[in-house]
Amino acid sequence: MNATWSEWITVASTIGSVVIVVYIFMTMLFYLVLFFVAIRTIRKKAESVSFQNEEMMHSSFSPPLSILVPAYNEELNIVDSVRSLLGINYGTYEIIVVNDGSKDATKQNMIDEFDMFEVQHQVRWSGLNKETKLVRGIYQSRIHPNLRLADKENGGKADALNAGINLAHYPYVVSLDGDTVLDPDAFLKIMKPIVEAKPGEEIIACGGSVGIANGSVVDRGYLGEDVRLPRNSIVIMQVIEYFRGFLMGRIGLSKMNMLLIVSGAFGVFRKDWLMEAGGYETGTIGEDMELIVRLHRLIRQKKSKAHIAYIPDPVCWTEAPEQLKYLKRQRIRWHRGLFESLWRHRGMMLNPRYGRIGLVSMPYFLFVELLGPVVELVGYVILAVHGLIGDVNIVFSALLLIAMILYGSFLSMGAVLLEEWGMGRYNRVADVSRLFWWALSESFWYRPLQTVWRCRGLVQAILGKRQEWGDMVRKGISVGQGGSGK
Amino acid sequence: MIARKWLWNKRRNKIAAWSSLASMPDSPIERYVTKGETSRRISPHDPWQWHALEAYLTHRLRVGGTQVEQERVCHLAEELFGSIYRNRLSNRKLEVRLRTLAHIGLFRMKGLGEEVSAILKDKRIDSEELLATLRVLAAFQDKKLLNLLLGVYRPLPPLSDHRYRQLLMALETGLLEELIDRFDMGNDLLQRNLLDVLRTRNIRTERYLALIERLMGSPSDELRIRALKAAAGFGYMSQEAENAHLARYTNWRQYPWEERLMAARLMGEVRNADYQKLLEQMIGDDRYAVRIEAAHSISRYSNGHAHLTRIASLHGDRYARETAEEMLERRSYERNVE
Repeated sequence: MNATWSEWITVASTIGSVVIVVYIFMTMLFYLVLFFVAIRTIRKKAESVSFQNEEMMHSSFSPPLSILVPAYNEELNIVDSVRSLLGINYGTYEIIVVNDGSKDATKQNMIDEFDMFEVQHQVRWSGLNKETKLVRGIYQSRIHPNLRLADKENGGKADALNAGINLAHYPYVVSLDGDTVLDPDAFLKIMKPIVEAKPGEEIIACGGSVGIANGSVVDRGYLGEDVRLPRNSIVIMQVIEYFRGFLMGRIGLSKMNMLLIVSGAFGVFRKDWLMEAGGYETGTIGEDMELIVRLHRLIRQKKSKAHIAYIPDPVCWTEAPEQLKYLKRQRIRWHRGLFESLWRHRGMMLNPRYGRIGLVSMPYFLFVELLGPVVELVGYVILAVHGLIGDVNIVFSALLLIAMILYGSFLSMGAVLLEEWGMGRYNRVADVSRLFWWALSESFWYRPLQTVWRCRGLVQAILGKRQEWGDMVRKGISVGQGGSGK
Repeated sequence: MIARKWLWNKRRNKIAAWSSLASMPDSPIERYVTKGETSRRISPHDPWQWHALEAYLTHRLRVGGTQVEQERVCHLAEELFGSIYRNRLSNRKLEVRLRTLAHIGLFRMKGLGEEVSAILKDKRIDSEELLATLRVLAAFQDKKLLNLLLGVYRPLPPLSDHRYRQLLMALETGLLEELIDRFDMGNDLLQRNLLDVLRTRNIRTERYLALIERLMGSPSDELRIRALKAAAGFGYMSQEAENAHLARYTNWRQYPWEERLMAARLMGEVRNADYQKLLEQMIGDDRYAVRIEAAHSISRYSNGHAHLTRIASLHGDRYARETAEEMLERRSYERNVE
């Protein structure tokens, strides 16, 4: 290598190092703001009394809900999920399970378990003005009059949700994953911001925290009192990741009405707004995020003061992948979904017409969430290049290392602290201590893995790979399924 | 953090053990609550015991029990926590004050009535604190609340439907009747929610019936719809009101769909031969919800099944025929046929 090339590489990598360090510290600053906003909110919530929740249960006072459960190959979990839904504390609601052309026994399990029969007369009407794949039949439970099953041809999760919206009777629609385990008070909690909105305030969607059920005992669709941390280190890291995403990120963003994601695992929406927005977009991966961005767009177009709310309470639990290969698939899909949503609505990016969403929220998701892994990867490459050309800049390398550790591990430790101060869901000292130490280790193994996968997701998204239901081999998390419950 | 967790668990276990002992039938607290036997052993010593006792009394009150038992729980709470709550009402943290107000209302500590009323004098009162204070007044059945709701002293800041209902649901029938008498003084939100609460509470008084019959002819769509819903819940109307209803909804198409739906529901609750003819027309409404409600109302008449069968075969409107078929099908698989 001649001297000129070497100098060029040195200059380029030095500039790169500076950019990366500045980038990471700016991001840290942003997260720090979110962290303090979250602390205030969580502390406030911890002081509140819970015994005033049940007034909402008066059936005539709680807005009726249509709960949509799209299911694809969910034979292991679907019955338990529906059972947990049938036992929730809420006034009036209906459950619509949409079987999206499952290849397993999802439909048959539902029919057998809940004594279902096919309804002959059912008005098929699409308020969404959007075609869905053929609905082959609608079934009604003889045991539970508020439980229906729509059996349709496979069209993806968004299509299944759209079919469910067309069948929904009630003004609020809840989207739910087939493997979601709900807190018994989930609906009371999630409807609280909606019913308590002042006159003139309009809450058109609301989401809540999602927890990871692996490791805890799930019996007949309910999570026991004792939330436990699994032994599997991959799941532990996801638990920490969820803390960070839900407790830190979303609380802060929702405070400023800048939330762009209501988790597909559990969210509630005003049906009229869903209809006006055109329902879920088929052919995308991140349909949950895409819908929220579209709702924000609609809010701005209508010059409405409507708000998308978020509650820090854990409202539901889901099974996380326990093997790297499934986690990899999930993360690649998520990142592709993020890219698609941002790309589809790129007109909002840095556009003052969309207020804080266009000027703060969208750029945050672009530069921090979407491109963050790319910046990190470049950082690793620069370190390697410096090492290869034998020109290790000690100051920059140290700064970079500190920045990486702060960015990954310390943020995660902060999230664990937040969880412990505000929620305290994990009762065992050993669990809390393991969470803390694993959080510290994040930058050294888990984060680099995520970086590589997310970069792959970005590449795949740019190359436009076809989307489909995410497949994850479920072992089942309920003791009733022959699973250990762990 | 780990030390904090360890201490927290230790405290939680102590509280759990204390609560399980307290719930025994022969524990000093239970003996006081069930038999009125006082004991010095009830008074807590450590901070965690105060917390445990507060939680236990809260739980004891919420699980029910006789009137006397509930009064004893409230009396004990006032005796032990009265001075603590008095101090907490001036705590600088809003959350602590809100929590305290919730407990004062729950234990109906009328001894703190003056302190609670004093909060309302503060012009810069936080909206959450205002609501919590109003809820305490509702729990005390304090007549001042009616004047506050009606804006006699000063206009009330906007409250959601849910907040109004929280307040109104806690009031006894006597106070609700007083609000019925002063109905026209209230704002739209109070009027709407008062109607809903009266319906939900299943109040059955002449004053209430007179109010809903009057409001069924109100110029306000919203009030008319709620009055119709309330009348359907009441399940009875005077002959005059029945006739007026028939006359008004002969031209049912001119009303909003929500009103048509409620009018159809009422015609199923208050059954009248003339209504059946009207329902037979309404089953062909262009709104599915109204059609199905009309079909449901028809099915509630003694000859409802035969009437629906006839509509399913002979009605000139395809939608009406399909709706009748759907209702017949529903009725065939409903286990508890009315």
